[in-house]
Amino acid sequence: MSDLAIPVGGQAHTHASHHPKHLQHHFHNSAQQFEASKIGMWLFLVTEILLFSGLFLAYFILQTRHPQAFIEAHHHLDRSLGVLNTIVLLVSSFTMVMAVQSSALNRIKPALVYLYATFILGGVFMCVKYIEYSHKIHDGLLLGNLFSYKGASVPGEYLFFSMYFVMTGIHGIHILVGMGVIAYLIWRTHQGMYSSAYYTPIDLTGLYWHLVDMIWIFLFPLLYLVS
Amino acid sequence: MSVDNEAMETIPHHGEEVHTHNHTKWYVANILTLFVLTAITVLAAGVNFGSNTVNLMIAMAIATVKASLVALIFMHLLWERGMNAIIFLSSLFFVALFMSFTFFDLETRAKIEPSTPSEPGVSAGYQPAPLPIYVVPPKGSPEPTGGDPAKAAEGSPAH
Repeated sequence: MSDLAIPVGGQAHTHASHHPKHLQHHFHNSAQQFEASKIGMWLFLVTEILLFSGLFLAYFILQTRHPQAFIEAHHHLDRSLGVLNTIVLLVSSFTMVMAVQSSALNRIKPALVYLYATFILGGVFMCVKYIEYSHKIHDGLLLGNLFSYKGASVPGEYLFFSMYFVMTGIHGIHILVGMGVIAYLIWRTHQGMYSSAYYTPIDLTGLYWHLVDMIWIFLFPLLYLVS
Repeated sequence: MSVDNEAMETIPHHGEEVHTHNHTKWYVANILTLFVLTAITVLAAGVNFGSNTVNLMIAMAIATVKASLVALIFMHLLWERGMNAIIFLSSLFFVALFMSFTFFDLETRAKIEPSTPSEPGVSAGYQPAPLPIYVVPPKGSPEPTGGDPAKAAEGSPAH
């Protein structure tokens, strides 16, 4: 019994003295822990893709069955605001990836600047969405049986707005969650928690943010550019 | 301790080395390409390529290229070992399965159930019931002010 206890105690000692604080005891080294975390994040992203694929499928079914309604209804969306939001999200993806790289290269101050920029761009996206939503709510261009727009000329326009609000709504919630996580990262970076030795949370948040951007890349032509 | 060292050697340090590379040029090139592709998407939407479906497929093809660029460069799949890419691509496989089988069902319903025949000139086999202009009339307007009243009546909830 004592033969077993000594090596175990010895190993625990080396963990405490040689291993960095962030490294959990069941990983061999930081690289392995980082790779394992990333696989976990990718698995989570897969569930996100499947969540949105149901919505995309619903869109495709309704759109192929009521093409005129979708063409007519999408004219109520402001295409220039859609382009603006696309560019805002693409730039935010760029600032996010620069935040990841800066922290990986141990450039913490630029990393902070890029995190702030990403947060602000997410905020700009939500402000534009707020402008679009309030305009549609004012006109009664709403989802399902809340649709009360008086100038509708083609039957079934409410189907488009059902898809519009559900898809952009769930996407918008993802942006808000991402902004919350980025705010947390900013707070922790200010505390000096991250360095090139440990920046896994920044990297994983980056992956999430890029996926949300990727979903918008598909939403934009589907909702704003129906032809 | 020697066991611990041996174990550490079997874990490749490849990943960590890759992440310390400076990819700024790649990122800048990528964001500029994505801007150009966004412009192409908007321009392509203004061109009639024959039908609604063809236009939709072209828009989706450009969006797929854009999403691939985001995945490969911003999400680092280009520089990583394959596991993350396999996970990602497997999800796309299941999405393709999900969507294609749903459409197989919808497109072949008319052949199996002749009671819902497809109208000539409409590609979709399954034809839904006509739709009302809106589900609930807005307050203060008992009669729909827009659209064809006959169509609206035809698709009323009484249907």
